[in-house]
Amino acid sequence: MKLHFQNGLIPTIDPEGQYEVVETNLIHRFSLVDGEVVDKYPGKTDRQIQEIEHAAATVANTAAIKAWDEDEANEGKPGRPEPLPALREE
Amino acid sequence: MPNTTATTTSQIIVPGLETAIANVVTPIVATSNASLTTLNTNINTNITGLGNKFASPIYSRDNLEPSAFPTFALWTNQNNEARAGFTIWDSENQKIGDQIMKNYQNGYTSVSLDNMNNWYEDFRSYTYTNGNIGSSTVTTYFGGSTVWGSADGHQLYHPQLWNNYSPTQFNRADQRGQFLIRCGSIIGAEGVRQRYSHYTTDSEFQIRPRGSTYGYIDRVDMNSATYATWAGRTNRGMSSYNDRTKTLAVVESNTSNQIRLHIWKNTARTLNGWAHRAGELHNFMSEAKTAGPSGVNSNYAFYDFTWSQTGSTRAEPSYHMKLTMGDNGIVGFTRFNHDGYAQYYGYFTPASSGSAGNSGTGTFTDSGVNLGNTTSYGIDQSESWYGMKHQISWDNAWMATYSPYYYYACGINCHLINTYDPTKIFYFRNTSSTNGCAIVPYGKSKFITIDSQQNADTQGPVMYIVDPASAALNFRRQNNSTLSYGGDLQPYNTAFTYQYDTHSNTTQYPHLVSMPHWTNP
Repeated sequence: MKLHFQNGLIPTIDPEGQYEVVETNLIHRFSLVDGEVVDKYPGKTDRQIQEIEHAAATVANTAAIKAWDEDEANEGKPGRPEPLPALREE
Repeated sequence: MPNTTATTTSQIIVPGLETAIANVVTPIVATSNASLTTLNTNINTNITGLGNKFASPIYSRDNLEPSAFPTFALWTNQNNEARAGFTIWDSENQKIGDQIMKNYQNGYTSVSLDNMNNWYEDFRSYTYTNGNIGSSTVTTYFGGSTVWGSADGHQLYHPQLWNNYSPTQFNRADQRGQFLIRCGSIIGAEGVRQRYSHYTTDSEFQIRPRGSTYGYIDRVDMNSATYATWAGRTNRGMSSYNDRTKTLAVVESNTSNQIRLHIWKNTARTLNGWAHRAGELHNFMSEAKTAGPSGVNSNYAFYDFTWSQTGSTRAEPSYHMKLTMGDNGIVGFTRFNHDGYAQYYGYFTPASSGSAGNSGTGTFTDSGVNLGNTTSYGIDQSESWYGMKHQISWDNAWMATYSPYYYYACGINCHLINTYDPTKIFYFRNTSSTNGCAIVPYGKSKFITIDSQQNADTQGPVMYIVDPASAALNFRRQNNSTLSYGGDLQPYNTAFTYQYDTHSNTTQYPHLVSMPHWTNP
């Protein structure tokens, strides 16, 4: 598949794009650095990327909930972060 | 003999005036009664023709009165420091307002915004702009969510042009979301911003002042033979009212994707008039229902069909589709099939309106313009915080329906739908996994969106114009590349920078919101 980077920043799937990349639905893995495409997850499948990102998101989310609960100023206030749902089964 | 002599000190004599009057009046007096009758008729006819140019005495304001072009606000809050506030911009890219929460100048102490009053304090962290939303559930930075703004208002921000030095520019975020996800689209005459919000939940249809979180001015329960042939399925804001054709569409569905589309038409009434009265919704629906499928000026019909994909048997894709009631009678459907599927678009074309109590027939067409997403969530996770939203252009010609690409709030998948003919669409997307990409109306028939990374010391917020109308007219993008219907508008090819100064002076991620009032000074 080919990508076009709008404004040099935003990746878009484009049959006439100038950058050939691996087949993927998760094109946020790609960025353009000094005119070269950089893959944030080289060699990973889409599923593996989702698992990596979800694990990181869960860690960050758990920390946010802990920080909320430890801050006494939050007592009685709305807005406590919610736990992330489990990653969807394939 | 005309009098040319003043008889009192207060008289002014104009020689020849009486003769001039006599020359005008005498022929009129001599005119026959038949001629006078004809003249009277002609005058009345011409005045009647002018009638719709003026506000009806029944209404306090003309229902076709256009608003000013859209205005929008950019918010920054430098981590709860004094440098927090809105800058407000018109559709000519000129600043028209500037409000800062606390004044800050070099040498003065930066005052913390802790414990400011009212709703700001409860949701303070949501307003921070010094970081990325990323994959978070609703929490810090969330005011920049792609899907916290809609045609019915913003979940968190409520900026006013005439305000200064006040924290009272916020909505109650924890109460607001349940309202926004239940608001359907309203398509008016050119330049007429929707007067109301149309709120539906299952068979309950309410008309509320635009943006009203709770409370209504009119309601009906559609689960009644007086109004509809209701199937008893679920609905979260699946309605679209076209005020140009006086046609209302409401959908109920289930997780088997069995869809029932109800369509009422009543040309004698409006559901978007300035002087809406309680009972008007009853009249609109009941008169159409009584007229049945074959009524001319008012009618009611329903259509049963299915539209499904893998993953579409969950709440967001089943109960929360966005409708576009086209002038040509075709109804557009946008579906956010979240969590690793796509945002889809299709449209239903009625063929026969059927008979009373029986479904009409028609064809559902999947456009095939599928905008893939990654791990992402909608109303299944919370009806208070998440889910697809919509905006409409000033001229009411283009509907934007959009959902996040990544988790709850980042990136955007957006269909742009023509409201005259919903078979005509474009799209654009941003696969950001870090920031929100809010979109708001801009100019006559455009939108403006943000890719919210900026450095206030240098280029400021980075904005992009989304222009479906020009694409439909000339089939070219702003950068002169070509496209066709169903194509990618690629708004990010052309960036607007060094224009939108903000209150921060370090790396920030500003939040974009449409102004509740599009009033220019």
